[in-house]
Amino acid sequence: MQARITHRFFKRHLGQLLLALTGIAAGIAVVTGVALLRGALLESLDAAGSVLVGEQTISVRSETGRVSVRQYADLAVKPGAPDWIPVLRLPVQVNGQRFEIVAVDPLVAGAATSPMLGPGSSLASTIDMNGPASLVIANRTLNALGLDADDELVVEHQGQVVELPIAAVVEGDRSMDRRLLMDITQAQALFGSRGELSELWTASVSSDWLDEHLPPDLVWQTSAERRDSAASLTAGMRANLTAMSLLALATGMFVVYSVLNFLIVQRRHDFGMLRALGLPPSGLLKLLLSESLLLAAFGGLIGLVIGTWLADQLLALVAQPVGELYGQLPLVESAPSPGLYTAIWLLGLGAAILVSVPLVREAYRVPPGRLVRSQPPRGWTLVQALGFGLFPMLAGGLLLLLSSGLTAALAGLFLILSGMVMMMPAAGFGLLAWLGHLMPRSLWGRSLVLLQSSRSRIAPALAALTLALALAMGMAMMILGFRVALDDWVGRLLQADVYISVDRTEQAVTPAVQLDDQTIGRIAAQDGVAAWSSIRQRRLADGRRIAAYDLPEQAWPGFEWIDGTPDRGQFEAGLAVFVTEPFARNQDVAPDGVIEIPTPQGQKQLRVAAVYRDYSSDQGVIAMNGVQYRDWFDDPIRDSVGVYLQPDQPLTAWLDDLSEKVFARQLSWITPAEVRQQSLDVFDRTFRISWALALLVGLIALIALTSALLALGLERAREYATLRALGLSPQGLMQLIMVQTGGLTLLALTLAVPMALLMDIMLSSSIQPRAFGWSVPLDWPPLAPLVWTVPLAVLAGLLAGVYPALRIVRSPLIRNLRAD
Amino acid sequence: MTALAFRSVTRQYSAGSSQVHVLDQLELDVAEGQRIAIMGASGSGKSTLLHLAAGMDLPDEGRIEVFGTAVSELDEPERTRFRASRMGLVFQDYNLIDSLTAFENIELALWLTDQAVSKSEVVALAGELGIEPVLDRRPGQLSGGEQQRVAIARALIHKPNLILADEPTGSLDQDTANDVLHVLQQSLQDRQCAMVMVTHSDAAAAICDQIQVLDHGRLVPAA
Amino acid sequence: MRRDVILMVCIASLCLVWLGLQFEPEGPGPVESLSGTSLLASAPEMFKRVTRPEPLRFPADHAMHPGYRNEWWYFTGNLNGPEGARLGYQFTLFRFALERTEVSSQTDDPPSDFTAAAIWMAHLALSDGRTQQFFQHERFAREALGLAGASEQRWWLRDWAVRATERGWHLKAGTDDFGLDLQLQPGKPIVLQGEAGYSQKGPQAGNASRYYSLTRIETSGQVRIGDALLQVNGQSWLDREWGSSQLSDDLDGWDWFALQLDDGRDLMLYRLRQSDGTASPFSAGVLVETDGRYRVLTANDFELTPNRYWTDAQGIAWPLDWSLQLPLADLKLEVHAVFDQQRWDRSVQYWEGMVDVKSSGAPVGRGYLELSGYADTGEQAANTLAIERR
Repeated sequence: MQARITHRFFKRHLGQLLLALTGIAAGIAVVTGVALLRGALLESLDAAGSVLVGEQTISVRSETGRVSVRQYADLAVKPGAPDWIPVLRLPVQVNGQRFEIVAVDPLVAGAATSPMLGPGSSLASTIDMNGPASLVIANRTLNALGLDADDELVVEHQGQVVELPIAAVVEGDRSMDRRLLMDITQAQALFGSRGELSELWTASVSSDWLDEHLPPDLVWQTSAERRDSAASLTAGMRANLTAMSLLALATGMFVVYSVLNFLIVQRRHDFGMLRALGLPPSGLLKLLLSESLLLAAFGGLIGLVIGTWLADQLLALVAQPVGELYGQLPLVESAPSPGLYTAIWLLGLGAAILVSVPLVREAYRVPPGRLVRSQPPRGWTLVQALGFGLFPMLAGGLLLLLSSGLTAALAGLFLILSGMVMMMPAAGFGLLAWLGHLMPRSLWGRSLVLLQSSRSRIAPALAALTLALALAMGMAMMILGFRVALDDWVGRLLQADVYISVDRTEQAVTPAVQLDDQTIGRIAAQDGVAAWSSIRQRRLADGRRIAAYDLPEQAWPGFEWIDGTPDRGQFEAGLAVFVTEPFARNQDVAPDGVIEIPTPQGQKQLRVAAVYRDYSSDQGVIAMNGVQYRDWFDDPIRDSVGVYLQPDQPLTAWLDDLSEKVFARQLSWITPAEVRQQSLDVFDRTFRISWALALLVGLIALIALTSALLALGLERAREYATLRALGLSPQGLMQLIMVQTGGLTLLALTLAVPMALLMDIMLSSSIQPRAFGWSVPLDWPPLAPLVWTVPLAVLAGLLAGVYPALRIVRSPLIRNLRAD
Repeated sequence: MTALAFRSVTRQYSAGSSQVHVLDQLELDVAEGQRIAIMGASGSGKSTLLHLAAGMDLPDEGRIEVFGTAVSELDEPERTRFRASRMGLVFQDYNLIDSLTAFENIELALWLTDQAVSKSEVVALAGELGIEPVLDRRPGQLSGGEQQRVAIARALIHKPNLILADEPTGSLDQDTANDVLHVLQQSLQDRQCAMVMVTHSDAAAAICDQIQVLDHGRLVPAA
Repeated sequence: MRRDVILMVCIASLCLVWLGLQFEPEGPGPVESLSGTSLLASAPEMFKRVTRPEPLRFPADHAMHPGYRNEWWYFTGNLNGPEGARLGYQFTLFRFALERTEVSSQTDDPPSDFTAAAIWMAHLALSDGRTQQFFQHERFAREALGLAGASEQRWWLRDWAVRATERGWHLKAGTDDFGLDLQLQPGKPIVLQGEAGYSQKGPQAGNASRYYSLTRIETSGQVRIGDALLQVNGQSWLDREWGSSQLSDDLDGWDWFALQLDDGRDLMLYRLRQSDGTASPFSAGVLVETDGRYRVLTANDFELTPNRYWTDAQGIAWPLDWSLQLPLADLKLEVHAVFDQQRWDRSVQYWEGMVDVKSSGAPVGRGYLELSGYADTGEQAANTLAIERR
């Protein structure tokens, strides 16, 4: 019987059913999408080696980034040496997506059969070392590219485009995602990267052997350690994504609430009748709960499907920045698990139960027989709301102040936002009443005043819309503010006129030129050079990075000091170093603190003189004097040299001179403007995901608004019909409803602005430093997000109102006049 | 001049496969200032007649004139405008707007007809109907009788020539109903305003000049 | 109502099925396509061929011979350990030339550090008669960056190496599990197989290899099993062979015997098995006298009959006991595997192990037996034939 009541109702209200399902599915979809995306980032295991070689893979890398082929050859013939697999990794572009060529020696790698390639097949038998260069690709990657095994892949590496046939398609596992396996000989010959290897792999070797034979500049890691460090790289990004998805879930729950609410409104009469006929309250509870659960269960399934699809779309957005920022390749598609699906699905059911509670309470209040018209709950007064809202806000603020962790900061942000959301309806309707009284006689004023009676219906939608708008604007402000900060930083940092480094592509075919004192001397001896600076970067075994600088007078304004005293004399004397903000935060070092670094000459202690702003690495960098560095590390090479020209020296002429006279085609250069552009491009790609999520949250909020307006229309049907009967024309009614919708959106916007500002401040000053180690200087928030969010939101709000408005205007006037 | 005239008005509904003639070639004449009560069994088409008169429904055949204007031949906006300016509606369930005060509910009729609101006029009318003390209350805070008086005030404030009342005392107890009927009769008389009232109540019908019974789609004078 | 319930159940099922399809498959599926490696296929035109006898010079011919498709340095030996321990070993370096264009025109500046004219494979095995354990290890390297090669003085693949000493060679190779450190001193002069080292193995020109052997090498040194070091001595055998496409297409495999008799004579025999199961007329051998003089044997001179088959875990039957008749030397011998499990299961599947030689039940010598082509099917068989010798 109960099922029949439910069935009849939904059958008559198919539109509402679909809306309810859409709301639930949308919320679940976003949560699923982000959860899967997180997983894909987490599993972006740089573990091709462990699959090719085995779970116990040990990887050897150089602290300077590259292992020389000579070192490999020496290690390989050492007594007791394991089977070293030389690996060359080359970042490439395929179809505009970031891929990686993993070039190995199939002979060594293929000695053992590899699970990656399928049972019983070895790499040696898969790659044709005799034939022309070709690739081994995993099935999933090939499918993701939309190619067949017969197709050729167009692979671009540093501007060089090569078409490569596919030697074999293997089942592979996820570590083969976006990776192309290749013979190292063919890869070197094609892409001209002789002399250097990315790393060496081996299946098993004792740590004693490594300690005895590994040259000091090579470090080793087990695959488990590598996975851990890979996971920690993206920790900040993942935490931010999680926060976003939780906010999306919160917005989604508002939708579920509105939708269920809407269903109850429509059936208040039925419920009264059922109660009058003797249905006990528990029966009503059962009816409502089972309907909520059924909707959540069904909508949740659809949400899981959409979310899985969504995750892959989001993944396409993040693949590039993750690769650029962290040198990692995410999976080609998300990797869902039954556990994850079940968890999210149950989360949906839980949310449905949670939001049903207040609705069931309301349904209980419907008296049997419904002889007296019940008033919907009035909601909190402004004072009450302030009281209730202040509590979580204070708790959140305390959490932010007392704890330094990222999770705590996100929780604090969440609490503060919840507090604000709790105040939202009271504040909003207060504002509405005030506005209504400002223009009491006009259609506008009337329309807004009329909204007051539907307060309890509209409040959740208003809160959802406000939250979503605040989220979108706050994120946008943070991103744009950060972009400005980054732009400023790059602009300030790059004081030289041009930066010169060795052309790696040319190096392949010509004897290597190195940026040592001699080369720099020749560059500096060119006419028109006023000064030069240089930088050499080195990664220490523990992951810290050193940047060794030679800095002329002109370069010093490039630093923006955050803390401490930048004592130039001490720095140049090798007595002190500077560290970046993320370094200071990650390593918990303050000015006058002492850090230790391992050098070939033993452990060296260095005093930290000052902390400077830097966005180049969220791991942090130690800046030390170049002379000191070369002395300790016996490394005369520089990665790049900055040239400061004399004021009257035109750059292009100088560069022509350099290339013609000094090092024909062996050096490459880049101007500060180009660096700046590249940095901003990377930045923009990095934050595409945030835009996408903000958009999704906005969409969900729109669904919430539409359903709330529909509920409003249904509940107020009699009121609207009365107005029509009293002489309000259909157009007038339409106008009235649109004013209400637009007014609600504007109201949400008005409330969202302070919330967005607060979010911007919290994200910039609290979340960013904790997630990435760097802060963004507080400045006037960029107003661009407001400028285009306001019209966009109003337009969207109006659109969301059109359907409910049309429904109301077209609904039968006479029937609606009667009490329901 | 005739306030309201039905000429051979037929209104039918389809119920399943058969057609039900709710009104069948119905004729009705209401003179200016005349009050007519329409009685009849439930489902006899009383409300339909009222909705047709108000221009909220259209006849299948025949012609309806209000003060010489063929309402049934106007388009929707024109009908709405006509209804707003010339007629006042009173409902069984009062149909007041919850979020507006009594005063604002009354004022609504003026606003809908684009008339300037004179506060003194509203107050005067409210005084006439005995609801002046409750003007700043909302419908939820009023008794049924007070609510219906507010509704009557709303129907009269813009000086219509024709009141259409649908069971105005249907939701009220006998004493309250008598009070309300009394003020209604008084107000109509003062304004020389015609009324068509649909009711089951003999007491309500008693305030009218004439009583007609709707039976099988046609009006017959009450016995 | 039923219709709607069915519709919902259908949609829900569709969703569930779709979601189910998203999960990772359990373990890797079948490989879609694999190219047979041309590396191991028969030799293209670009390679030199052995077509007639040519004089061999030593030690120059101990070094590798670029230009030929394949070449090997093949040690086997029977060793005595402490307390009568019976041990056997195999150490082989294979060189397979790659058919790159660079092979013929090796420039000073190859396009890659790893550009190689050849790839090398090393097989190291140890048979422990006490425990009947068979240790095997395989490794590969490119002929680049000094990873592998063979000069007059040194034959090596990474740290596995054979170095020339004053009297012979020093062989050193090992893994975590086992290792060899052996001094080798030839006890007899070099034996040139076939016609002065020209060993014809098929009817066509080029179905031949250059082939010489050292059939008795005094051996002493250390064998390591796990952490245990065993002092050993005994006799080793070296086979050296190079050529291109020495085998004809219709061969299934071969059975190769290297026997050192207690009376001082050494006997090598190989039987090339044709597809129909019979011995090829190009089967051959050599009988080396105590003083080092030797006599080349042809297919008609000897008869080999398998007596016992051992079936391995894969169900492949290997003939491990044989009867051998060599009428012209009046030899009737039985050859028995010392134990069964001496089978290679790495890139190439074959049986290579120590054997006892008996005459009328009495022990008269020891040796090594190699069985090839039994585990192969189809394409792999052809490859193996090409890679393996004899």
